[in-house]
Amino acid sequence: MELETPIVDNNNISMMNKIKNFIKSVVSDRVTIYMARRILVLIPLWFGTAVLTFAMVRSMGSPADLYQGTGRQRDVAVAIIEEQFGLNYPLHIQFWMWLQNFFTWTFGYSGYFKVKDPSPFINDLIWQTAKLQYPALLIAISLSIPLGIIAAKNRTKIVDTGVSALALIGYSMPIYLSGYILIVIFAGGGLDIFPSGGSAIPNRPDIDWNLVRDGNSEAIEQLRFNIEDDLLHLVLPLIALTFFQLALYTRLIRSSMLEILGQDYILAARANGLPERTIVWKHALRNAIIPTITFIALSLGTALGGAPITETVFSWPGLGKVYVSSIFLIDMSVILGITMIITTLILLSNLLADILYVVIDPRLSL
Amino acid sequence: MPEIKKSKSIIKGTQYTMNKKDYELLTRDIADSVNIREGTVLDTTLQSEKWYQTVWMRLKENKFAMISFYYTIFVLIMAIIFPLLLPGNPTDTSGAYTASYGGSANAYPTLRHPFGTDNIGRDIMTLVIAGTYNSMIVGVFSTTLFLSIGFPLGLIAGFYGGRIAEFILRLADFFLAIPFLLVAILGIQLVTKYGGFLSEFPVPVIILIVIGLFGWAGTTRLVYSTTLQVLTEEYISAAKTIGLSNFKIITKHIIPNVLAPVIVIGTIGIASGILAEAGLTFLGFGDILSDVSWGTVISLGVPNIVLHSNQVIIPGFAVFFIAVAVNLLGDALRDALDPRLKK
Repeated sequence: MELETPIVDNNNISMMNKIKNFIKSVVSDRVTIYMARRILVLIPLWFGTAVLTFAMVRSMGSPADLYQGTGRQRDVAVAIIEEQFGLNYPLHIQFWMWLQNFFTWTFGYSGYFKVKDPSPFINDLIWQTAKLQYPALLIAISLSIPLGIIAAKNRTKIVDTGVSALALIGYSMPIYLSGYILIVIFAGGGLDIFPSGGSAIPNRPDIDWNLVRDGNSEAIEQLRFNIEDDLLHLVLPLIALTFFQLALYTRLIRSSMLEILGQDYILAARANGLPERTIVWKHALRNAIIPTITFIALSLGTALGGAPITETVFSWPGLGKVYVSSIFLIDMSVILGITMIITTLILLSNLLADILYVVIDPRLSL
Repeated sequence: MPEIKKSKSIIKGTQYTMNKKDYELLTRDIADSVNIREGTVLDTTLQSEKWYQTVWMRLKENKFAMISFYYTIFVLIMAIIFPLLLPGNPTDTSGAYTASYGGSANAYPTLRHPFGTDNIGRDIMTLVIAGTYNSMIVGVFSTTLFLSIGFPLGLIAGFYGGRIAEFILRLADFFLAIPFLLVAILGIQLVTKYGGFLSEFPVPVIILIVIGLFGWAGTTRLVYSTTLQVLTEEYISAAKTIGLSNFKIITKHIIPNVLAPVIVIGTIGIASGILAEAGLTFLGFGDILSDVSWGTVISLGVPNIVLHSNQVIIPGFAVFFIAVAVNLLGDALRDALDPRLKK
């Protein structure tokens, strides 16, 4: 015990020092300039994507063209649609209006939801997609780190071959195959354990939180039912998504671990007689995890962008599914809104990756 | 000028050792490396074995790589000659009218229709075989397109540096920040439905153009960083010293040394192109009845999945097998091209 206390203290001091050093380095000129540049670069990227998407949606024509009908009825309908979508204004004013709507989080008239302000719907979509994507990311990461390390440690043995084969299958298997296999086996005509699609049973009553707080037994029962229902619906899409992401991360960790384990300082640690566990989990993992952490930071943004196919397979009412439907309706506010929400997330996660790069790897020259 | 000639001939003599990859391939054998140091059989060994021959030899040792290589070649040949093999038009719905002998719509697998028929009476095996065409076209040509954009841009950025590099890299940043799938969906819908004369093109061509135009940025980044690494090598400064033109330095010294990661990324690009094509057609882009693609077959089978899962699972496995084969080939190529990772 007497021996351990100074070690712990040492660790604490070194952690404190690290934090202090990091704060110092943030304050120092070079890092600040670097970060400021990274942040400033995001703005043109954001506007570039917005203009590109706006131009693409606008060149798809007017949603009024989709109206089926003839004669005076059609003229009236077209006039109403053009008024609703603001198509009477010149293009740059339309873009400006859209920008204002986006930053006030109202998005403008939506033909898909048929409301002037689809923000509650879009908030719900974001929640639905996040509820599916981020747990999958979390499970995949926490499983892939041990898997990748075990594979790298037992290189060319049967464990490594197995893990590599699993990873290969995982990232080669499209989600519309793994998803439908799961649906055939566990839902519908198969075992019928899990629901085959959707995020909740239709017309499920909402929870009255006031009643739950008061201890109303019916409301608590409803709450329990709703949570169970949510989890049941989540299982199959979560398995399909996790399998895919697990494969990606396992490959990444395995290859960076292999590279690190071949370095000279690992050899030196071995020669010094350090236990294998310390070498792998402390010396090697610390360096091997750097590319993975930046990749995770990037995935926080791109996870939402890859949603359309998964959500179509599991009829999940999220961003991707609504995005595809709204494209067929030329619903500009929803198309642009979803694209820019995801672009914003991607850019912010890029920034996060840059920051983490500086924090984790002090060798990095800026 | 005899002096310059002499120095040139020296450089020529050492040109092979200057080429990093040749050097590494040679040194894998200890006996050879001894010979290099003594400078005896250098020229003959190098001329007898080119780098791609060595890579091919190593690839041959990998059994799975060879299986997937032959499978990929098989699918490519199928994609070219499938009209000769098939009894009729893949979109032929006459199966729906011949209910006897295992016909009809939504038929289960029989000898007549080994994979069954879909809900309008088309033979799924015929559809799967004919679907190789669209799949391989998109896989191969989207990769060609994004490599032919990304590779030169990366080379230029790496070699010239400065403002050109800054511009190209910022452009690559922009294309990396775009949510690829969303913009690809939007672009395909735009061109197929509202693209004027462009919408005359078949859907797979539009898909491959969109994938190629939006997917080059990763290659540019990779080629840029590899070029920077190569530029620090001594043989580049040697080549600059003897006054080789930039064009010659790039073509003779940089491209051969940057090629290895590009070959790998190109192989994996084919797999992701195939997956993207099937995914996009699955989402409903393209004409369900006239475009024969694995994705449309799957999406047409989805409503029947409970009773007729073969309509979804079999075309799904067609996508899966070719993706596994190409990815496996990419991994094996990476191992074969990078001598450090060899056992």
